[in-house]
Amino acid sequence: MLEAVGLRKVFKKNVAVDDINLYLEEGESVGLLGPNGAGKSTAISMISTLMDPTSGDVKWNGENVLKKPNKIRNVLGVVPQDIALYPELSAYENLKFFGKLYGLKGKELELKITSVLDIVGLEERKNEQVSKYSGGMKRRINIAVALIHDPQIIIMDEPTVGIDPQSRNHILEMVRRLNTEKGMTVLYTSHYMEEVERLCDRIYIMDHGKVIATGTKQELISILSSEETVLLTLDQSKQSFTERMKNLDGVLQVIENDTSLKLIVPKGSRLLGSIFNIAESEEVQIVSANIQVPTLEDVFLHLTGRKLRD
Amino acid sequence: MLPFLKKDMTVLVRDRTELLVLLLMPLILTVILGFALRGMMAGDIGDLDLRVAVVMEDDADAGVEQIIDDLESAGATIDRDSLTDSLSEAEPIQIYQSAFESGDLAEMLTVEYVSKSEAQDALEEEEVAAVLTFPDEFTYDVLQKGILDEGDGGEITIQHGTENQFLSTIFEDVVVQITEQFNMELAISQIVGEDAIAMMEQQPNSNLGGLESVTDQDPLSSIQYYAFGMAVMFALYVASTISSKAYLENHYHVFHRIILSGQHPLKYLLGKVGSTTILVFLQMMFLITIASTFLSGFTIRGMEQWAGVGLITILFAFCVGTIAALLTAVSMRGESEVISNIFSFGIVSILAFVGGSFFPTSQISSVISEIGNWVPNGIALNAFLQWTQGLSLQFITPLLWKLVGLSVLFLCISLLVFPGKKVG
Repeated sequence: MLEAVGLRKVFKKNVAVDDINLYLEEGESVGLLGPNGAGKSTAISMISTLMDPTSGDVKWNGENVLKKPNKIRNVLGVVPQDIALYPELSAYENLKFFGKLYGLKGKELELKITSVLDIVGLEERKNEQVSKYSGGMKRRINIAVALIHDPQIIIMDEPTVGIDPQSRNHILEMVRRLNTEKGMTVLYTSHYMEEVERLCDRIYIMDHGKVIATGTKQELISILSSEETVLLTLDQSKQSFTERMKNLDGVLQVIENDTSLKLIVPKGSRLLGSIFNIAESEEVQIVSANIQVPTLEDVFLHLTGRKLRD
Repeated sequence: MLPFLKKDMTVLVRDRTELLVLLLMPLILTVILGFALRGMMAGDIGDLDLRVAVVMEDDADAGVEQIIDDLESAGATIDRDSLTDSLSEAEPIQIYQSAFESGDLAEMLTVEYVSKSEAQDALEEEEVAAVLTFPDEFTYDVLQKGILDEGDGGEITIQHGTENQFLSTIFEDVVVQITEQFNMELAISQIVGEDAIAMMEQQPNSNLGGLESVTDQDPLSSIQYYAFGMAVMFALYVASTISSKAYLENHYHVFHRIILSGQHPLKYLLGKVGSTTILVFLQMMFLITIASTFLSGFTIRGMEQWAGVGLITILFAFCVGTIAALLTAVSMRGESEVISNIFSFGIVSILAFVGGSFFPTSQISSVISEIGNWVPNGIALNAFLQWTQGLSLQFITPLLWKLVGLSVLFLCISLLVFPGKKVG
């Protein structure tokens, strides 16, 4: 359906996107996961034909659309990371303006406005200026504008950045319903692992402009199927203890976070006894110890050596 | 393009601060500058009440008789009666008196013919701003110098009061102007030589000096000047406001949304031209209407003059619209708001200065004045002033063509610079 083939974008000497391949099938919900600066926004700008790639193609139903972007633009609904609205206008006026640009008019336009306001839950406050909305409401109307022309594919660039948990949950639920109930194809970019885990059938993990892993959540986690995570909470942070953990036989990786340590170890390792012995000798008290199954966060850590939000 | 026009105008109208600056500031400045610099324009003089005393120590008729005696003594063959009549009608004092009583000057000038002591009293009591004294044998001395080229000529004196120096200075300027005009005519007579007397016989009532208007309208008042000056200046701010908002549209990816809707990017750019044109037109007509309704000294007469003002406003508004397009194109090309800020905080002031919005630049430099004739606001200001002064369409047509030419130039450049579909 929609395909990015060998997309590459170079700004002067900086390679923002490096030869990525990506596809979306009809009705799929696909996540593009990566830390800030990974190249996600540049990638979706190229996929949505707003930016020319240095090399590579974007194909819609097998046809290259870079030279004829209008072939795909009408089926795309793009939600930018920024609030791409006129704050001086009301939600209704914003929707009306963009609806008219898409050629909607009269009763059809009014029905569409009512419909998308209903989806984002802002029907009652449609006549207020956007500048007076809360951050969450702005995000919702930002999505509503992308839906005004009934697109087949919605591309969302970090649509929940900087909002409260309640609004975030509302948006995630809305995206889920658009995908499952309305059959809309979704490309969802985020650096929030839990959002992508919750919404997406397939996931692309990006870092430094490259796609470093792809697959379903289970396929990605299976990368770490031979490993498990031991999470230690300590009464104090002590460098000598951390060093001894890193040097302990069987420990593959140690990630520090204040008074907690995350140890990546081979599955089935019986290291807890050794860990407690070292703690005793270092006069460090272990407040709690948990053995966890791998998460996407762990996968990302494993693949890049750093946390998703670094 | 209609949604773009409507959207741009709604966005600007909702921006209360911007709206106040664009509509109220020019009015406030017009009033402040118009009244503070009152008297700078010829039209303001009509409002003055200038009272002066004239002391007549000269016996003009005796002076005429005496100069005719001198001519006869010198052996000239003359018709004494005829020459006496001619010279009596062209007595230097009568030249001054006629000028004082001429149309514009008569409206502002009240002359009291009094004795020397009465004049002094009136000056001390501040009943008059100045005292003009025609000394004994003034007529004879002037005619002797003018006709026979003998003697030092006549000399009048002006005594200024301690108060009302501004008014007495104006009066002195008026007298100097009349004197210079008179002297020039006498000089011409001397060049003509022997025909001097004949000339004086033929043209005893030469129109000497005074304050004349170029047209048949009232002279320009400072309120009228600054109402137009501020209107054309603040119209330029609409261009920078529109382009600043265009920059934000690009920065926050609203422009991307517009592109994704399948609209041609040039529609967006031309939308900026259209919305700026309409906004500037409405802004200027608002200012002009308010000024003509509430400010004394600002007059537009009849439907024909209003129509002309409307035409100039439309062409100037379109020119500002193309400036907005140019600023938009540059700011989107450079992905920076700097050009709009430079225009707003620097270039507008420079354009206003050279275009004459603050004062007529011809008073300080012909070079600046000439440059002002090529900037849109300067051209529009000239057109407004000339048209409301009563000059015909023929005079302002070249100015209007200049505005059209600049508009085409700005539009072409903006089309070349505008980055089109791939922005950001």
